[in-house]
Amino acid sequence: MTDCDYGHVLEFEVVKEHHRMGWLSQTRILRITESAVENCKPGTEIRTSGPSLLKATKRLPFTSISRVAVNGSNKFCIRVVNDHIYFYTAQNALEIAHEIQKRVTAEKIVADIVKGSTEDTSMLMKSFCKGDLQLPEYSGDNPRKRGMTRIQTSRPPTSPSPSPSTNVPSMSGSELKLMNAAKEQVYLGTLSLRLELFKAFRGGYFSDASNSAKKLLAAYQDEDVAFVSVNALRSDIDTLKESLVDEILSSRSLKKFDGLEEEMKEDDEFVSRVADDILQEDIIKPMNEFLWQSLLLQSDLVGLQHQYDRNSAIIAQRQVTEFGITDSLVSIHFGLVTRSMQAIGQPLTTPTKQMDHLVHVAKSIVLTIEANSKLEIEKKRRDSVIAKASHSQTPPSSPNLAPEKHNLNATLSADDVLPLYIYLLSKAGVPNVVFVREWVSKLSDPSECSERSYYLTVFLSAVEYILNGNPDAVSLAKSPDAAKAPPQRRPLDSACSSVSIDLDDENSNIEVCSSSSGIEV
Amino acid sequence: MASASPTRAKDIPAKIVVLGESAVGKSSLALRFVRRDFIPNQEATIGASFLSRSVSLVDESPPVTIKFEIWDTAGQERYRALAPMYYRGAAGALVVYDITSADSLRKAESWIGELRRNADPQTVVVLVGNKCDLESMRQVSIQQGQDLAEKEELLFYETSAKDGTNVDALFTNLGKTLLSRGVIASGVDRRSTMSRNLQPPGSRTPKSEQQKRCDC
Repeated sequence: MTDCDYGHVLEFEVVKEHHRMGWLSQTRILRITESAVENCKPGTEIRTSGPSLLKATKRLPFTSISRVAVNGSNKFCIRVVNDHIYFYTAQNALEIAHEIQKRVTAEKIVADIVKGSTEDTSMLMKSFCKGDLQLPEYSGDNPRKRGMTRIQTSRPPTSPSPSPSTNVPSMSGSELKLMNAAKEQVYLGTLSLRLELFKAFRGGYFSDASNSAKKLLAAYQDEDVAFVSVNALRSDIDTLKESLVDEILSSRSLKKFDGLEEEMKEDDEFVSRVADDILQEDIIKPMNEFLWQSLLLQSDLVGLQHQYDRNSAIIAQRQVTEFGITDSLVSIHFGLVTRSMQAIGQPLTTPTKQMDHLVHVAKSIVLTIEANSKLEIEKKRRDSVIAKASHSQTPPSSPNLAPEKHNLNATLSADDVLPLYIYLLSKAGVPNVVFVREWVSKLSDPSECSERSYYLTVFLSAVEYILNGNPDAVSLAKSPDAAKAPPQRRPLDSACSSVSIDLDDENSNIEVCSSSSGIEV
Repeated sequence: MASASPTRAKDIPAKIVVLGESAVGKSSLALRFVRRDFIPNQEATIGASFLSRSVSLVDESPPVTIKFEIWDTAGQERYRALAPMYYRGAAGALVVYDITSADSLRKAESWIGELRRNADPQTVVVLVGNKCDLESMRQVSIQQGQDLAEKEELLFYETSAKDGTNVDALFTNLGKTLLSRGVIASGVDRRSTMSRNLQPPGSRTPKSEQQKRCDC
C-alpha cells in the first residue's frame, strides 16, 4: 500500500548526510510521492503487481515537514516535526527542494481547506484568489526538463551566502488569525468536549456502552470472514449508540464544562455524532482489515466492480463535451482533483474519515475552478497592463484594474458539479470503488444529514451513474458536434495553464506559463 | 463543527432538496436565500450545491431556529434517475420551474408525480415559479402555477432569485409548515422525529440490492 501506485512519483539520486553519525554519507534515491518524501536504498527493488519499486527506508509524510531549506546550489535539508533535520547533497538540489516545497504547500492548503468551516474556507479561497496563497501544481511533465534553468538564471546562487530558507507557508498564520475569536472559542469548546467524551469512554466511564462495545468487537472477530454482514454490524452499532447517547446525556461528569459547553451537552445531535465517531473508532477501526476482506470476498460486489471498471473505462474515453459540462469549465487543470479522487480507492480507517475525504474531493473541485478563474483574471490584467504600457509611456495609474467581477457562483451548481464529478471520477481510474461504496454507505452514521452526507450522496450517485447510466446508449446519442470533433486527446494532467512558483522569491509570484486549448476538445 | 454558533444547540436541522430542470435557477434561488446578508462581492465559497442557513422563527412559541440544509440536484434529464438518492429523507422539496418556459412547468409536473410515488409522504413539497422578474417573457401564468399547486395540494410561490422577491417568504413559510405538520420538531421530540425520517439501516440502499440480484 504505497503511494507510489498513483500519481506523479519523482525519483532523484541524492547523497544523504547523517549529522549524528559523523556526517556519514549514504547514496540514496529520494522518492517524492503525492504524499511523502521517501528515502530509498538503491538495489532493494521489491516486486509489486505494478512496476517494481525500491523499498523505502524512511518515509517523511508531507504533513510532518515543517521547513525545506537550500544551501548553495547543491545542498538542501528537510526539517521534520518531532524528528531531526535531514541533510542531502544533490546536483539538482534546488529543483528537488522546489518540488518538495510545492507539494508540501499543496498538502497544507488542502488540509486547511478540509479542516475549515465554510467561512474559513471562503476566506482561504479569497486569499488564494488574490494570489496570496500558492497554487499547487501537479502537471505530469518531467521536472528534469523544466524549472531548473529558470531558477538558476533568475537568481544565481551566491555560493557562501547564508542559506536562503523558506518557511513552508501554512494557512494557520495570518489568515486564521482573522478568524472570528468567538467562533474559534466555540470550535475549541466543541473540540475539547469531543476529546473529553472520547477520554471518558476510553477510561470506562460509560461502562455499559464500552463493555457492550468490547463484547460486540469480540463477537465479530470470532466470526468467519465470509459471513460478516456490514448491515448487521451497522444496526448493532446503532443500538449501541442509542444507549451510549443516553448514558452521556444523563451523565454528570461533564458538568465541569460551563456555559457554552453546557448547551453543547444538551445538543443531542452533537452528542450523537460524537458517539458515532467513538464507536467507529472503537469497533470499525480495529476490524477494518477484516471487514474489507469480507467485502472483497463477496462475489456480487466483485461482479459489480468489474462492471464499474468496464463502464468507467468507456466513459473516460468520452469527449468532455458529452457530459454537458459548461465550456468555461472544460479547460481547467484538474490534477489536484483526480489526485484526491484516487485516494478514495484506499479505505480510510473509519467511514467518517472517508466522508471527510469526499468533502475534500468536492472542495478540491471548487478550489481548482476558483484558482483557474483567478489565473484568467490575472492574465487579463497583465495583458491590459502590457497593452497600456505599449500605448503610452505613462505607467498604469491604478494597479487595481484587476478584481473584475466574475460570477462563479452561478457556474458551481449541481448542474455543473455532478457531470464534472462523473467525468473526473472516470478519468481518475479509482480502484475498488464498489467496495468502498459498500463500506462507506453501509457503515457510516445513517442520521447524518449535513454537508458530509451531501457529498457522500454526490459520490454515490456518480458511482451509480457509471454503473448503470448505460454508457453505450449515451455515447450513441451524443451530439453531432461531438461526433465530428476529431478525437484529439491529451492527458488530463497536462492542463492548459501550468504554474510555477519561485522558491527564492519571498513574494512568490504565480506565473502563468501557458494557457491555450482545453483538455480534450 | 467549526460552523457552530452559540445558538446552535436549539437549531433544528431540515433537509431541503431542490428539483427541477437545469437552468431554471435552482441554485440561484438557494444562493439568494443563503447569501442574503452577505456582502455583494462575496465570491469565494465552496460551491453552490450544498448550502445552509439558519432562520429564527420568532413568532412561533417558543421561538425556534431552523437550520435549512439545502441540497441541489443536477437537472439534466440523463441524471434524473439519480434524484431519489438526493430526496430520500428530505423534510421539504422545492420543485422549481421557470415562468418563461412552459416546458419547465411540464418537467415540474413530472417531478411532482415522481415525489408522490417515491418520496416519503411526509415530505412537504413547494412548487416554485422562478424568474418572476422577467414578466415580459412570461409563458406560464400565475394562475397555471396556482392551479397545479391546488390540484396537488402544494405550497406555491413565484419568486425571483435575481431581485429576491418572495425568497425569504418561501423558506419562512416552508419552515412553519414543517413545524406544524410535525415533519421536524424542536426539543425532546427531535430524536424520535429524526429516526422517523430515516429508513432502517437494512433498507437504506434498496437500489444496490436490486443491482446485486440483476448482476447474478
